[in-house]
Amino acid sequence: LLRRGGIDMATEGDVELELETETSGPERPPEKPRKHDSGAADLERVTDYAEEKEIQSSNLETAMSVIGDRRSREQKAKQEREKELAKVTIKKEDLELIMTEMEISRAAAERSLREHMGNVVEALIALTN
Amino acid sequence: MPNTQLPPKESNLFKRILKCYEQKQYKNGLKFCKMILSNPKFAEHGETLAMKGLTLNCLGKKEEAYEFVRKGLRNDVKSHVCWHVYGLLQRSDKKYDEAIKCYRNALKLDKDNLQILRDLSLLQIQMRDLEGYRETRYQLLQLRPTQRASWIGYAIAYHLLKDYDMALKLLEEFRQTQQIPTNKIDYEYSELILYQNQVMREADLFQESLEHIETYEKQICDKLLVEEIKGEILLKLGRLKEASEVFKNLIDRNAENWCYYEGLEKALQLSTLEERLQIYEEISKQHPRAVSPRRLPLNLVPGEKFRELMDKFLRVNFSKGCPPLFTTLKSLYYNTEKVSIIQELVTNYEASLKTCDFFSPYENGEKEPPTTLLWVQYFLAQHFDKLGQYSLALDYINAAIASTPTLIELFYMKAKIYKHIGNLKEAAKWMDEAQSLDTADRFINSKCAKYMLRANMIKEAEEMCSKFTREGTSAMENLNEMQCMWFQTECISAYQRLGRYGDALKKCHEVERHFFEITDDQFDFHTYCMRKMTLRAYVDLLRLEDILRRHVFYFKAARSAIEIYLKLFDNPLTNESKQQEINSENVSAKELKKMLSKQRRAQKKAKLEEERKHSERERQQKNQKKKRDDEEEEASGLKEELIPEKLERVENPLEEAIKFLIPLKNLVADNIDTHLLAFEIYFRKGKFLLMLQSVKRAFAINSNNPWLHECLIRFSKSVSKHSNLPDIVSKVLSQEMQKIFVNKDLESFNEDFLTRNATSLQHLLSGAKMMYFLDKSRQEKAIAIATRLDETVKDKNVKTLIKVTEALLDGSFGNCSSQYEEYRMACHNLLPFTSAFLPSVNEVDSPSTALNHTANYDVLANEI
Repeated sequence: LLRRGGIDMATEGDVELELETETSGPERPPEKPRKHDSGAADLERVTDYAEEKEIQSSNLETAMSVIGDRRSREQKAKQEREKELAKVTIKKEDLELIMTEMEISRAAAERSLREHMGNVVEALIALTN
Repeated sequence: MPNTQLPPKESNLFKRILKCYEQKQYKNGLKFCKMILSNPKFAEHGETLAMKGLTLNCLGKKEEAYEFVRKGLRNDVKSHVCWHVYGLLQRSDKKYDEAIKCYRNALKLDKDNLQILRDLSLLQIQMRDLEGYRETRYQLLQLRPTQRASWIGYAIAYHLLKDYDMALKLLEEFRQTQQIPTNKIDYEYSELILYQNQVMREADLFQESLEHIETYEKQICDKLLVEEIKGEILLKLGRLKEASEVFKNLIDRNAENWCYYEGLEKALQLSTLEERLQIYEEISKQHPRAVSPRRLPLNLVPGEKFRELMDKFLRVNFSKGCPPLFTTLKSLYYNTEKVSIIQELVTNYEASLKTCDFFSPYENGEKEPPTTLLWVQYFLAQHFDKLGQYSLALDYINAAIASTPTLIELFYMKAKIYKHIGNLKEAAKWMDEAQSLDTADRFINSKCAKYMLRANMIKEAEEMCSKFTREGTSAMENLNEMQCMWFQTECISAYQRLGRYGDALKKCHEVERHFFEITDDQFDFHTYCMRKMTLRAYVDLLRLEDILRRHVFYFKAARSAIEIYLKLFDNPLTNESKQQEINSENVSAKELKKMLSKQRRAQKKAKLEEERKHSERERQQKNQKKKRDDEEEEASGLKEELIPEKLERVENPLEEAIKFLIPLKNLVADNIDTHLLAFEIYFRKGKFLLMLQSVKRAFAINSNNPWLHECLIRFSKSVSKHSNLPDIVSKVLSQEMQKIFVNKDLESFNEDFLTRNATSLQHLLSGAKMMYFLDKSRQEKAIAIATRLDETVKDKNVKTLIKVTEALLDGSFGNCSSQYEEYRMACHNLLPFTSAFLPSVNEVDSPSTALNHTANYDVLANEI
């Protein structure tokens, strides 16, 4: 299936044109006698364009404020965690040893080393668990 | 720099291009593009060029598409539209990381662009970047708080991150905005309520969830589900009386759902067996035709009561002629007392029915029809097959066939018995007989194909399947297109047994591609499900896709691929590997020259044959491409053709093996084979800490596993041989291995293993192999242990005995052809029907002289 995405939609244009009537689009062709197919046509309709539905309600403000509060708390907690880990000193050779021996990415190796306070032996033991 | 702003006329045209793209009106879209680009003032307009490319991509013209999009981007590098379009192009080629980069570039230029944010969020959820997804959905919510999808998407993000609090807050806010009057039934609203309730239950908020479902009950469409949820929650809240009412009602709706009986038992908490049986009796009276209230008590009762109930159950079902009777009772066969009671009952029926048409000689009333005896004999065949008494099983099935030679089930069973015996050709023959009785039945056709594959009859199996596959393509290709993985995995095993590694690897990669596609296919449903509000199904889909490669089809393909790559690493195929090893000492120079030129000619012929096959394949493919519809999308350009000869000569087999291994390590970590396969790979790579990881994980699952035992010893030996490992590595190794070996030297470690497992042939084999490995001078003793067949050895079954013979042949015990012969004869006496132990007609053709590989030539059935 080809993946689709929409582009920002504007409304009608002014230009008059002779258009081909293509079979895909809002008007459906008359039902052909159904052969055994793999459901390709139905699957194709999954990606048809449809307008997004709107909410009729008015007061969304309180809801939005609750969300806002929550988010700032989340951001703060995350930043603090990252700060703690960044304080740990680690050695470059240790990092490279972990990457080679355990065949993991730099990011994963670094995280493991920091979580074990820079102790490469302990980090490796944990990684082999 | 060409002018990037369009005047009103062209600007409107451009808007129509966008609309055409949305509505999939591609030809019209191209027309509008042409109108803009044919004007020399705008021939280089970046965004139009980009849109032209995107539209072309939807028509399958990939190369042109990339040309135009790139050109457009170059002409207008500050255009968010161009970056967005480039991202869409990359995404359609599944280059997801690239696509995300393009979207981020586009967002830098237009930070609040809704469409780009939406597309970015789709990629993030596809790649399971849940935190990123949440961030993007938050931005979308801020930009469009009135759109349904904004709220739903944001709530789902929290749900997936297991932050139930937040998810529920959002869902409740959203629910309130829906304002559906209480007397109206709206399917989407019903789904929303059920989703909300599911999140509550996952958060263990049982009280809230019960109140919630009772409040909105009337507006939920799936009434059955409401009852089931109530039952489940009432149990969790300990409100047992109410729960029991709910389950009683559920059983009234459907008396065959075992979960309801389980729920009822939990709710009633009856202490005595009599009370429990009473309940089943009552239900059976209310639902006299239901099977479950008669079947379930058989799980509970022992001894005499069991005999009484089983007797009733069997008689009713034999008279009725119930083919799956044995299948429904199979789960009782772990219990030896019950098995012998069943055997006694049924063999007595058989004897009695043969003489007087009654279940027992002391009866009167209506006589049983002749079919009753048939079903009894059929049952007995299955019964004795399960117990491993194959001779007796064959007697009964043959008696049944003699009376009713047109019943497919009988031949099916006969084939199965031969399969268990280990005579796969005979099994395939009888399965063929079965399918010939009803050639319109695809089930039996498929079974026949499978049995043929087990007997390594690959061509025949393909022909058998072709009776049902699409016309115009070969069965192999059609079955691949239809993702028919049972067939493909069986082919993999068959090719593996035949040593046709390239063909096997091709199928392994085909299976892997199916899994890739199934993962990829979820993409469109991220928008679709949210729009249709089928949120429970959507979350289930995501969770399924998360663990997709846990499926046994992937495991089989991956395991075989790894095994083959390991073999190819140990014994790589060269271009002359079709050549025989010539022992030039025994042959004169002239004869040698003759032999070599003969071989060269043969090689040339083979090469021409290969080339012919290859061009034939290409021609066929071209024809098929032409046959396909123009509208049909081209498969993404990543799929290069899989060529067996190339696959089996790959440069880095271990790296290829690791590609198959990684999903197993992530998803099937509870299967010990994952770690043992991993060990074999890392052993050959010389990665000691990864070897350590593999054995540690395997050890935690089952420290007594035979294969693990061999790995441990080889590992330890290898560590002691490599004295120049980095200090840190040595430190980790010694510390961790201490926990496993506990200061023992390897000989003692092995001796302990043998003593501990003195009655298990599998373990004895491994211990014996290691005895020889550690000390070649103990060859005699080692072989003696492995070839034990005395009474105390418990698992002398077909599978294990074959394993021993393979080990004797593959060099695990050094040179021992005479001991192999002796052992083969002894096995033959034990299991006279098994093909693997029959004396081979021509000793030269015996497996040990097979070309290209010395290790583990898998003779016949691996998995029975």
